[in-house]
Amino acid sequence: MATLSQTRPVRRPRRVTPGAAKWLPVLLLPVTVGLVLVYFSAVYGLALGFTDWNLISDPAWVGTANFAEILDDERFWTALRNTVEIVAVTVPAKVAIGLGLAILLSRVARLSSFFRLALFFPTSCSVVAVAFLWVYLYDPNGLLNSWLGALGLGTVKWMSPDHALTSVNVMIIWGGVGYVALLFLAGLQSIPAEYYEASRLDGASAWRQFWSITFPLLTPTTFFVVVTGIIAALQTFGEVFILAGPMDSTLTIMSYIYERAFTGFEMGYSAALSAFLILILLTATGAQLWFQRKWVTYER
Amino acid sequence: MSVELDRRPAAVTSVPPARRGRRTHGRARGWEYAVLVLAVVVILGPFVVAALTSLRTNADYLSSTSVLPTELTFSNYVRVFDEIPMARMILNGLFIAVLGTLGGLVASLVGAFCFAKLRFAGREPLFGVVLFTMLVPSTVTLIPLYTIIRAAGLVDTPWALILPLCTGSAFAVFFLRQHLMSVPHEFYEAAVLDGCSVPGTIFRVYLPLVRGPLAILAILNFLASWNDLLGPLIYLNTPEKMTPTVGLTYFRGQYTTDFPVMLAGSLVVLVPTTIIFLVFNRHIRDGLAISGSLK
Amino acid sequence: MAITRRALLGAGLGVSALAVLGGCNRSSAESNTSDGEIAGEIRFSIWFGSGDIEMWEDVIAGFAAVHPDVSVKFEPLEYDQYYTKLNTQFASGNAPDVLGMQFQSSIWGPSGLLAPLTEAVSGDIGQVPASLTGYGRAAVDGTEEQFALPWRFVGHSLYGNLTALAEAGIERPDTWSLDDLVAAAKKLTTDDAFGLHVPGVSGETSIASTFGASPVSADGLTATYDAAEMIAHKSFLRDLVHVHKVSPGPDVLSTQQDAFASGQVRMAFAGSWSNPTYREGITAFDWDILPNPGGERPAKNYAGPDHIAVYAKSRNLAAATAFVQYAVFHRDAQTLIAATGAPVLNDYLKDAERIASEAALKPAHYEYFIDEATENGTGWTFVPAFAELERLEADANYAIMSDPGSDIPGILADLNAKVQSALDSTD
Repeated sequence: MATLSQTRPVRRPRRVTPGAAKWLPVLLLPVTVGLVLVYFSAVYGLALGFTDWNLISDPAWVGTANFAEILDDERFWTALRNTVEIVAVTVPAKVAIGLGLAILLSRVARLSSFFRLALFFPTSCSVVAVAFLWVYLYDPNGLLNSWLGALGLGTVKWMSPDHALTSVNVMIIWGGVGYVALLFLAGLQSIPAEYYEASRLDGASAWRQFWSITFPLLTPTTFFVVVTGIIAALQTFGEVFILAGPMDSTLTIMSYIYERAFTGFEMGYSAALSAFLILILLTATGAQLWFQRKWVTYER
Repeated sequence: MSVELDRRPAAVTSVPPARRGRRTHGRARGWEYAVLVLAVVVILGPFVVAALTSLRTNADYLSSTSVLPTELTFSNYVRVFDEIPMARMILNGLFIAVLGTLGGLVASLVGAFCFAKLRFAGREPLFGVVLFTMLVPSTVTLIPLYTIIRAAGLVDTPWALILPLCTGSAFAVFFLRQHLMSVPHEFYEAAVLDGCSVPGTIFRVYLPLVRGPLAILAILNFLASWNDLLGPLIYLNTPEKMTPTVGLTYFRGQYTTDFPVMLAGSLVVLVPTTIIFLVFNRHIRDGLAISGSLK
Repeated sequence: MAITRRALLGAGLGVSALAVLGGCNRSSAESNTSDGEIAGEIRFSIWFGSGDIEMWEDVIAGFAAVHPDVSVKFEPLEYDQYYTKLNTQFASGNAPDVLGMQFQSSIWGPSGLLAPLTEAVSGDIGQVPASLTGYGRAAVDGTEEQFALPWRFVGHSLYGNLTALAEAGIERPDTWSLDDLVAAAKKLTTDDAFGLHVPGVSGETSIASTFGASPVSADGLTATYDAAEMIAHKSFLRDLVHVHKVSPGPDVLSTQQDAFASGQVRMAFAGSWSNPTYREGITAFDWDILPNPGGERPAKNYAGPDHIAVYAKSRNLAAATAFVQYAVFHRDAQTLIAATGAPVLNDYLKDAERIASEAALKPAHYEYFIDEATENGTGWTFVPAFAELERLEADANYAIMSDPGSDIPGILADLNAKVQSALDSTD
């Protein structure tokens, strides 16, 4: 498979492409305005991490006290543990189930539009609406328990401290798997049919075709899904804001940041927590960009 | 992120579209349909239950532990439009989501074009700066952004939500750049030789080539704007200017939630997003393929 | 500039205070507007429960009739989101002119966010029971200022399913003890219904007070969860679940359906805000409120007001203050407000005709609720750290109630330390 090998492009001298020089400032203007807004706000917001501010009186400089406090904060570590579990469970599950569904979808001719719409449906809903629906499903007298009861299987305390995080994970996977399946479906459809025909002539089994053609050619899609999926999962908030388990069992870093800022009026501490979260996001994303060369195969 | 790839030929676009995916269509066996149908049942099941509950009165819902309604009523759907200005809110939401999505797509497309096709000093670092904004949690920027938007006199107008969307998003720039990078550079050179201006090249040459990815982004951006709760809540004050997503919260009380009406409203709010999905669905086929390099 | 504003405010308020002093009828209030002192636009934002939005729109229409030159922009918000938005607006300096709150005036008032209303309401405040106005007062530089005014109040009662009580052969008692309550709950408990439900935190107030237990000291500065009385109280609640088996443990009742209205429990402590829902939603059985069971000490139910106040940076303090005064002291406004809770005007609150019409709609013993709430209620939840306290106690309750062998003194000692540190950090 020569096409799978990666070519090393030649480094070019840095100069503006001819004819584009006068357009560059215009073309980049909207994005730059957005950058200025976000960075100004972020720098201002994060600088508050060095202050004690209750939103009312003026911020008071406290140096690194907030950061030191975080390291001793039991609830921060609980939130971090929960968040990491959400990432570790939901991202691989969405990739595995989404890929499976995409392969099935790619082989279906009849009703394919209906299947796509149905699988994408949860993505069309706001996170809040989805969480409300699941509050109802997980209720002690809710739909799931009444089904289990009807089957004579007893009931499950879905939102008890032992089960709540797993229940939240199931909801997140349910809500996101259709979107991932569509990403993979499009990826599958751009794999040239000739590859499969050639390997069939060579007598390759379906299993072998998957590992030698489908999976390698899908790695760019997989990479995109994993990178953006981890960024989103590390910032899980809306789901656990509505569907919250007792005793911090579903506390995430984002929900803890929100709680300290808007119910605790501790903007300084909340900003310091946000800085930690950015650090975690940066490390996770940077590591993936670094490791991608080990497993991501580009077509050319 | 230092390697330039803008002259690579593109294998994907060189394959005639008609050849793609043909191998598999119609080959599905019975068990494969069965698995898909099961997946659809698992995913749509809760919506069916929601639809049933939206047809119950609150009294029936409160007093019975059964899943099935004792009597069916459409009164909750009437209440959604009667008790809050839902029709008005849908128009507000469409105005914001459509303008914001269009503006955001244009900004992201021209931005992504610069990062994918133009060479200029500081391109890669600047792209990193764009990507980094994906990592900033919204809680950090909420209050400073509010202060800026208030200083611009935009609070309680839809422009407080539309204009920030018109600066594009890091996700869209990233996504479109990946796709633009797989378009051969010869397209650009040919267009310039034909006397096409740079914007003309973008909109007449490149836009049709990334129609699929743009359709995906149109759906995702529309959904993000339509389903946004915090933005309208913070930036808008007047109930008549609110969006449907905020409107739904009017059925949540301090101590009690009128669940059947909430669900009826949630299903009403799903109608425009479903239409948007169906309209753009036929462009999706190739849209989500990431065939470029993510370096 | 502050002096000018204050002087203007004084002039405006003097007139309106006189008008309200002159009586709560429409004609005297109308004369107030003819001099054209109060005009312009004000914003009014508050969270809402069921029926509140329509109620406030009517109140605003009534205010417009009295003050035609003032237009009120009404910005109701869902409970959770109301405070998020308010905080953002505080930080940016453009909060609404008139704003609602529960217990926060004791923080926001002294911080300078709320305009002192002491002078403006000095003539009227006597019309509201003193037990309700105290929560809106706070000390600044040694002087007590009225920062917020109660506009309605709510309280808990013990609600009973009369149909089930009759079936179990229990007559509605005039007074009863905790032992009687447990005995009744046992008779009422069946395979598909619990006899008694004591919802956590504020719902426990009645039973806690009979043990002499309170989460915080009377001044709200010290956590008292580790007291022997609290240990006895929590042990009693755990026994209801695990020894007497008459109450549901955690994760048993539906969080979405009202436990009492759906018949899952036969007796339950619930707030007066449930009355409209119960009136509409309960069709399967007859219901009423029952006497609070007494113990060594008399029962004190949770009761407390909802407040409104004026934003200190309001550009129209006169109109904002006039609106607050209208909502609190004007009989027309209070008549509308009574649709969603109890009014705060003394003579109207205890008005025999009003009580009779409420009782006709149920609960039949509505007057008992009013008497208990005004004379025997306790509003201990009005501490600045209430949100933190409520979360911590709910967690501790979960640990206590989910395990028959839970270490109650240990859990409460831990809770006490955490609550104390929350109380210390919000001063």
